[in-house]
This record gives sequence, structure tokens and C-alpha cells, in this order.
Amino acid sequence: MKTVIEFKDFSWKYKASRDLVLKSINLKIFQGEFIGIMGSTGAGKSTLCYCINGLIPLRTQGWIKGTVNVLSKNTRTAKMTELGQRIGLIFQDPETQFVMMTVEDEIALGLETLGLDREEIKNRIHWALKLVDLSGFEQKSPEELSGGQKQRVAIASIMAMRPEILILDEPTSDLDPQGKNEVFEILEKIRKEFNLTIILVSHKTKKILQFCNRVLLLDDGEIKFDGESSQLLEHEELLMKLGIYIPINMSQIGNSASLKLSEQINSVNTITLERESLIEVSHLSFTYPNNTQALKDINLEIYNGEFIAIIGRNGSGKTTLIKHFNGLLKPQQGEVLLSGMPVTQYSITEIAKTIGYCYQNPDHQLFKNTIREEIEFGLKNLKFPDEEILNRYIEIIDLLDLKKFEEIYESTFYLSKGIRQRLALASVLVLKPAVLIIDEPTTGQDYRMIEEFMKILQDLHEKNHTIIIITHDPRVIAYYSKAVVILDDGRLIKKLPTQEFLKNEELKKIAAYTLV
Amino acid sequence: MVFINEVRYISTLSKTFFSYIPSNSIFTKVHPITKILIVFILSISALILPNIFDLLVLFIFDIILITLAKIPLFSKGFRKIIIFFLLANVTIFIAWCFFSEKEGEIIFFEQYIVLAEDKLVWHILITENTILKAFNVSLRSIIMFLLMLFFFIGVSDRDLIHGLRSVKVPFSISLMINLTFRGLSIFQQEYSIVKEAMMTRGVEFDHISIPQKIRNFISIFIALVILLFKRAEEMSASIEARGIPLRSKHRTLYHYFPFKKKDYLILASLFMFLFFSIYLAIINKSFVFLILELF
Repeated sequence: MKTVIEFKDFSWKYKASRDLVLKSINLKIFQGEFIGIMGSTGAGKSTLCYCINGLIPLRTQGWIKGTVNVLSKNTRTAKMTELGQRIGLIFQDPETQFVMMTVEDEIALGLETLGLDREEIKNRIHWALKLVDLSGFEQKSPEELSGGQKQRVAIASIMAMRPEILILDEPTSDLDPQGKNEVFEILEKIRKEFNLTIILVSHKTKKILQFCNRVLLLDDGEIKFDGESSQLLEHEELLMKLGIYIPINMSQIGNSASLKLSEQINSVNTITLERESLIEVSHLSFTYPNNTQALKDINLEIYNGEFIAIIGRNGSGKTTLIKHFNGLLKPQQGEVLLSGMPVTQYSITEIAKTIGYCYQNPDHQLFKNTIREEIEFGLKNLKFPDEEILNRYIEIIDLLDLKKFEEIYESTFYLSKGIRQRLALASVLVLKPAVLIIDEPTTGQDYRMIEEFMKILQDLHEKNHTIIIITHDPRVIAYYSKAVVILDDGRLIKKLPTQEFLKNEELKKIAAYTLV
Repeated sequence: MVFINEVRYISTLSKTFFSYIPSNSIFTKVHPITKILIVFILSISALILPNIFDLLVLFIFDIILITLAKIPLFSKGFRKIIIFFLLANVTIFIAWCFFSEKEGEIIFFEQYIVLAEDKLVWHILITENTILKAFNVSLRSIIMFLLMLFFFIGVSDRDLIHGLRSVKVPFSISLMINLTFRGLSIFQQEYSIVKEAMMTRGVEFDHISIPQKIRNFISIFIALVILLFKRAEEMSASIEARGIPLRSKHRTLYHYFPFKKKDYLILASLFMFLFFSIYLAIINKSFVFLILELF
């Protein structure tokens, strides 16, 4: 077999990083292989991809040792243009990969660079869109596409250039289960049709096992495992150490969760009767200015101390519903009661004391320069006395273990995504809200981080906080939530205990609940 | 051959600032470069035409342009910007009246404001000519404002970019303009999310003092700058990773936007108008008087 990629004793350190990010990597990749790269956050997976594509060292500053030869070119001396055109690289965020105004232009952008004539460009656009099942989407703008569709456009725009190697750096972590499936199905199709070398970075062990014939496990810049994917599960200890999720099949998840939760659920059911109702939604409908009806006659009651997962496909109205709880949206029809009073009658500050809201992307809710300022921000807005602010601040950085980062980093700007997410949680928790709403807490995080984060939530739940999460993650739903609320196309399908949901195949299908 | 004017694209600016989706008009299929030149040349004319009568003619011409482009000036989306603009214009008008002195018949009043120690500090003198001049300045700015509206609403970003590339403007410049528009739509989305996130942490945006408002916006700004930096970096990485160079000899053009008869006609009359304006400016005479003299 022909070697397409060869790392020879390769080490790399970014200008800003403290240690080597890749350490003496020796690796050979052959034509036609489908390789999965796994490892915890910060293990050097993305860096490895950039080294293959030439972004490192051609467009990134840092220290280098050893060589990387890709398609018989040394990446130190090759031209970025040539490498970029022959080696396709797809990133995590579908939004920022979409450079042009329409799908057609996006694909044409790369093809024009190749110097193709108009007829050929047109043919390739049709071909690529057909490949990713988006025929007829030529004139759509990025705003009209879902995350999964945007990611498929990214794949199409790369595939249209007919690359010899395709690298995907966590291409599905921002997508809902349906979007994830869409992307993986396309990948399988490509793998079958073309003798392409594909390199896939992902946290999804099950998908890696399903698609890849070879797996690399990276830890702290070193390759800890390099072998056939069928051998991967034999190294259970290593997987556990690296915080990689070991899949069990779906029915097992259902059963083990059922066993674990059966007692709790029974108690929830009995307690529910005595519990006071916290949020009451009746006949709520909402239509956006662009005439999309996001909510249709929703009736829902949420009790004090519940742990609820709100689930459903993208665009099913989950976020719109949540925004009615904390007054960000005002009901057009029907009403939302918070502790028996219409939400609209509370002021923003009053709601902020009762309901905390954590966004999916922590960047959206960090406004201050230092960890301390960030945590104190909400308290100061709500005009707490100085002494109280100090006490709560000390309490929260202890609880979420943020002290050490405060000492190391001057500005929150330099924190990693996981830590920024934790800080965002801290800044909301410090207000001690009775209800905590969290939008997609697990995107793009490795399994260990998800577990840590969910444990914090579980502790809070035990202290009688009401927790509402919007999530697509089946593990979070099965292991942590006590009840699920299923939304589909703006309608509330059902609210039921998680255990019952896990047994109900029909509801699982509606909620796009699949193990990915 | 693919011509992009077969399908209509909506201007991001129009959608972002006025939440208005333009309807089809006779300008929809005019070459974007022609539209830019309409705005550019008429704006120059508005600046150099010396006489108020000519400006009035230009103003009427502007109104016809806006009507033909089917821009509903009095609809809800435009109300805010028009009120803001009119207020600004009233200020300009008053400022001219109070702070400029023109010779001529005194028509309003003349007053000396005497401050400490009987010293003459300031006086207000409004003459016929001051009013005329103030009116003149307001009219020019109104004409240019209407032209800008015509541009923002009538020219979609995508047409503009392909139009520029069709007339051989370098790829780097068109890409830069394209990224600005893309950034604008991302910025808008991020802004509203960040603002909401602040509200959930107890920040009031209504009924607060101006210093507090400024402080709030600084906080939003910090979050937005961080977001935009990251976005910009990711975007440039994704362009680089596809091997798209800024300069390339082999680059072809998928969308070709040709000039048509209509465009040549408009351009020819525009340039004639421009030369005529320059001529009027040089001889400092009004077009209306010229016509009257003819008869």
C-alpha cells in the first residue's frame, strides 16, 4: 500500500503553549485508510490534523522538530495552497466555515481557485451537492440552513475539490443527533465510493468503531495506541484512563439506567403530589416575526426540585420554551406562571435571582476580564452587600475548583473552553437560583469533563435545586435526568419519567434519541 | 452560463437594519456597479450643484428613484431611521441659522447677548441668505441620505461582490467585503444572545441612567470582541485550509455579471448629468435659470 502521510520523530510546540503539544510522533498512514483519532481535550488531536494539512508549520508560529511528509511533500517546504487543495480539512464549527453568502458560492470558491472553467464548476457543484444529499440547496444562504446542513455544505465544498485526503476535526460535536447521523452517513458513502484516505477526530467511540478501520489514541501529545479498531475495546484500562467513553449498547443503557433509577423515579412520582408547582405553562403559543410558529399550545407543569431534560430535534422549540421561563420572551397566547405569579410581572432582577440560565457557548455569557469580576458581576447587578458578595465568591470558587485558574491566568480570555464553561456555571450559580436552566452542557467536551460537570449538577439537585437541561446527549438523559419533556415541531408531546421514556421506542424516535 | 440576476438576493444590510425584504423593481436586474455609480455620481452632484433650485430638481429625481425602487419610506421598519435623520437635519438647520452669518436682508431678529462686564460675547443674526444656505445644506444631506437608502436596500451583498469581481476588482478586496457582510450577520446574532445573557444575570436595559447604559454596553462589547476574534480566526483558518490564495493567476470566475443595454444607458445619462453639474458649478448658474433664459 502507498504511504500518503508519514511523521518522522515529529514534535511541535505552539508559541504560546508551555509544553510540547506533540511529542516525537512516528506514524505512517496508507492510502485508503479510515483512521479515527481519539483522546481527551488538549491531547493534541487537532494539532495533529493541522500538521497534516500544512496549517502547521506554514501558517502557525511555534517550535518544530522532525518532519512530516504528506503526499510526498515535506510540509515545511510545500506551498499552503497546494496542500490545502489536495488535503481537505473540515472543522468543528459549521458557522465559521461558511464564508460566502450562498451554498453555490461556497462550493465555487474553492473550484475557482483550481482554475476550472464555468461548465466544470457547475457540474462539480451539482455533483458535490448530490453527494451530500443537498441538491436544490444551491441558492440557500447560511441563515436558512441547520447546523447539520451547514456541515454537509462544508463537506461538499471540500469534496468538490476532489482532495486526496480528507480530515475531519470533530465535525459533529455542534450538531444534534439527526445532524450527527447525516454527517456520518455521508462519510460512509464517501468512504465506499472513493478510495479516499479519511482521518476523523471524534469523541464518539461508537461511531469510530463503526466506521474506522484503524484508531489512534492520543494522550498528552503522544500516541498511546495505534491499531485496528476491533482491538480498541480490549484496552479498557487505557480508555478509562484517557476518559474515553466505552459504549454499551442502547438496550443496556436503558436497562442499567432503569435499574439505577427505578427507585428514584417511584419516589419522584409519589413526591410530585406533595411538591409545589414552580413553573406553570398553560396554552402557550409563540410565533416569531418571520412567521415561524415555534410553540403551539404548550401545557406543562414543573415542580420544585425536579431534574428535567427537555429533548427534541433541532427547531422543535426547546430554547423558545425555556426563554419564556425567564421572561426573555413574552407569551403571545396563554401564560407562564412562576411560583403562581405571571412571569411578566416580575422584573428582570427578580427573575435573575430565581432562575439561572447557562448558555451553550460560554463565550456568550462571559463579559468580564477576570474570574473574580465575572463571578461578582451578577451579584453586583442585584445589589448584594459587599460582605455577602465576598462570601459567595469564596464559596463558589471552592465548589467549582476555580481557585487555581485564577492564580495562573490573568484574563478569562486564555481559559480553555471547558474551564470557561465551568466559570459560566459559577457565575450563574453564585446567584443561588432556585431553578437552573442549562442549554446543551456537553457539546464538544470529552467524556470525563461531561461527567465532572454532571456531577456538580447532581449535587445541586440533591440540595433541592430544580434543574432543567436541554440536551441531545443520551447518556445525560439516561443517567442523570429524572424526567423528560419531549417537544416536536413546537408541540409538547409528553412529560414523563425518564425510565418510562427509555422503554418507549416511539417516543425515542420522535425525540431523535439515538446513541451517537 | 450562470447569471446570478436570475435569482434574487436580499441585501443583508436591509434585512439587518430595517428588517425589510425589498420587492422586485426595475432596478433589481441593473448591474450592481451601475447602482453604485448612480449613488456615487448623484451624491457628487448634490455636493457641487450651486443653486437651491437645482437641488430641488435633484431631490425630486431622488424621490422618483426611490419610488421606482419600490422602497416604502413610510413603513414601520424605516420609521426610526427617518425620525433620527430628520432630527439630525433640524439640528443642522438650526446650527446654520445660529452660527453662520450671511450678508443680506435681516429677516428674523438680531440680538446681542451681553455677558459679564458689558462685553459683547455673541450675537445672533439671521438673514434671508442664512436661511437659504441652511435650507441648502439640509437639502443636500437629505438627497444623500435617500441615495444611501437606495444603495443599502437595492444592492444585495452577493450581487455587489460578484459585480465587483466581474469588473476585475481584485479577489482580495471582494473577499474582504464579503467577509464584512458575513461578519455583520454573525455579529447581529451574537449581539442579541449576549444581550439576553446579560439580562439573565440581572442587567436592566430599560429605564436606567446613561452612564449605566454605557457600562452595560462595554460589557457586551468585551464578550463580542472575544467572540468576533475567535470567529475571525476560525474563518481565516478555514479559508487557508482550503488552499485559497488571495492572489492567483489561474483563478476563474464562476459568476459573470455582464453589463447590459440598460446599464450602458443609465451610465451614459449619469455621466452626462455629472458633466452638466460640473459645468453649472463652474459658471455658478442654475439649470432652472438656464432654461428660463432659453425662452
